[in-house]
Amino acid sequence: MALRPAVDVLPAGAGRVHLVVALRAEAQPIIEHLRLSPVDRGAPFRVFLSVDERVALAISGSGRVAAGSAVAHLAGYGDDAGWLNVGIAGHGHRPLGSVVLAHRIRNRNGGRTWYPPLVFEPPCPTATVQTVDRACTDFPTDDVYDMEAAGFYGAAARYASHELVHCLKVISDNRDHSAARLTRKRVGELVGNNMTVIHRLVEALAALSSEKRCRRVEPVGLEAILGATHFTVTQQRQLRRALRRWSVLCPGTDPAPWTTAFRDTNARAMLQRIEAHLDRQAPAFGNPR
Amino acid sequence: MIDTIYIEDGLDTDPRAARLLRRFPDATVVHCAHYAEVFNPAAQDFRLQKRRPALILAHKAGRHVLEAPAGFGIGGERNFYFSHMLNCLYDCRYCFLQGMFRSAHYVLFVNFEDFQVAIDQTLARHPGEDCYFFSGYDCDSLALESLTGFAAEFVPFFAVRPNALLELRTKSVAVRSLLQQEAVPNVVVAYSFTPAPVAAAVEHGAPDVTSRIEALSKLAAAGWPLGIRLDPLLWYEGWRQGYDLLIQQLAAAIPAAALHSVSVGPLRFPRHMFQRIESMYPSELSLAGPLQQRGGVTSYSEQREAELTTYVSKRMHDAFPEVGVFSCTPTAT
Repeated sequence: MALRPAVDVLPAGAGRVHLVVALRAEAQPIIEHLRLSPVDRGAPFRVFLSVDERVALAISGSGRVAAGSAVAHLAGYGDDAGWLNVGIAGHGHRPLGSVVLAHRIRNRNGGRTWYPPLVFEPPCPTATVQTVDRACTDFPTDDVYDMEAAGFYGAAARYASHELVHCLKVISDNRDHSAARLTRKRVGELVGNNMTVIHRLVEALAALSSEKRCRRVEPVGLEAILGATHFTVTQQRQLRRALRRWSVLCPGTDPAPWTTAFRDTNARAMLQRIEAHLDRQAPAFGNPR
Repeated sequence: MIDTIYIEDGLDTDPRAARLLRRFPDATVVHCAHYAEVFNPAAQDFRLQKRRPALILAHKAGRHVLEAPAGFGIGGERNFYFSHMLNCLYDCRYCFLQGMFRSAHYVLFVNFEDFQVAIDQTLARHPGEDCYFFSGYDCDSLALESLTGFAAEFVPFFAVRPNALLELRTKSVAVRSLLQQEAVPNVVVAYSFTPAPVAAAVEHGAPDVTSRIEALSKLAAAGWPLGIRLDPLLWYEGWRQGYDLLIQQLAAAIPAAALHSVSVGPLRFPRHMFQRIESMYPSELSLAGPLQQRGGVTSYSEQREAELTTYVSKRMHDAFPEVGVFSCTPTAT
């Protein structure tokens, strides 16, 4: 049995997606489709992980608080992940099995509203999702009603920028079909029939996550220079920034041999030398036309 | 072009908002109580939102006209700005908007009439004085003209207020509507430029330098007062030749008599904005140059800034000797 990763094990720049699903029946088709394996059995939430550890799924249990808690648990699996809540929901008249991505999420009890920015083309129609504490049966508005989205979104937006946090809802009940008649098998079918949409969303979020993680890739030479000389935390930050500039202004050259060749005895002198060198490099945009 | 429109509750019946909703019948329309609910939350990623910005239709409350920052001007004593829009169609890597706003969505304030009332109130507070109004501070004045109809509304408004001057600051070449009407002597159409290699590398989505010069030339022929804004000035390999060539092209295309003003301003950011932009674009060449922290501002060294400003100002003065060349100070953002 694999254990929860203590450190970020993904390759630099690889996208990561965290899914939060309330019920095992909802999660099962996703677990099978994405070939996820159980990990972390002693933890408060059942967690499943892909072989490459880019996709993690937690089964939260029903309700806002549970969904938010599962987000906090999954957040320990790595930074800059895309976040997706998948689950069943009700609507007055949308057909059973239809699927919507939330473009607005309202917490009916807390009053807070979120607007997930749709920076990719949505793979399905979008709608307002209202999160309620008890299953809705009268559907007083044209919104989709669920029990987790607000708890999930409010928590996940603490760990990722809003573009990376989304909620997908599969309609399981409406005025003509009560949620009371739902079976586990039926719930699994409703989610499983929308795996194409779920898969596209996971890929879109992985791409966004990858872009965010690429921005934080450590620059060439950092490890070698830090290994050779003691830098304070502040100096490490300054060095990281300087070496990022180096990679842009002096592409294709490794700063480590250049820097260590001067045999500076301390980090401050080394930083000053690198900065002075970089300040002499004029950005080259090409020849004037 | 616009896939999602956020609209403040109650604005559906506003004629300007309704026209825009009709213009994009396939767009997803999402209602919000106030535009800030969508635009202002923390933890938004400007760079990611630039992939697919939404349009936010809003009603501007509070102060509609503000005093321009010290050092921001083109020769007037009384300088003001107003923003019918927040954010820009283009994606220029040096733009301070990407550090100022958390969201890249376009906010359009549809209550133009309230801006006009505020402009009149401002003029009334300064009787007998010339007041300059800048409309391209938080957006490009013309880039989304086909959507906003901003110039179509405000050019005639300023035309009958001769002691007011409107600057339309832009990189857009969509000037047909201006060319179809009589030039207005107190409306200056001001184009921003960087040398062509820089523009090609960092002004994503903006018309190229040649197209902008062609637009200026047409506007000059139609009698519009023009502005040239060499702002920001960028230090790069071959910058002297780059600016020389740009100024030669401008001088060849634009008669000096058509020029109202020239302004130059070095690259500068409030420090916190620069940090935010740099973290979004850690591999951006234009931000990797020799920028320093000076007070609360990130800019080139004083010496380098002076070298750039003096050189380019002199070249512009040589090319257009009769035209005022104004310098924007580093504190102007």
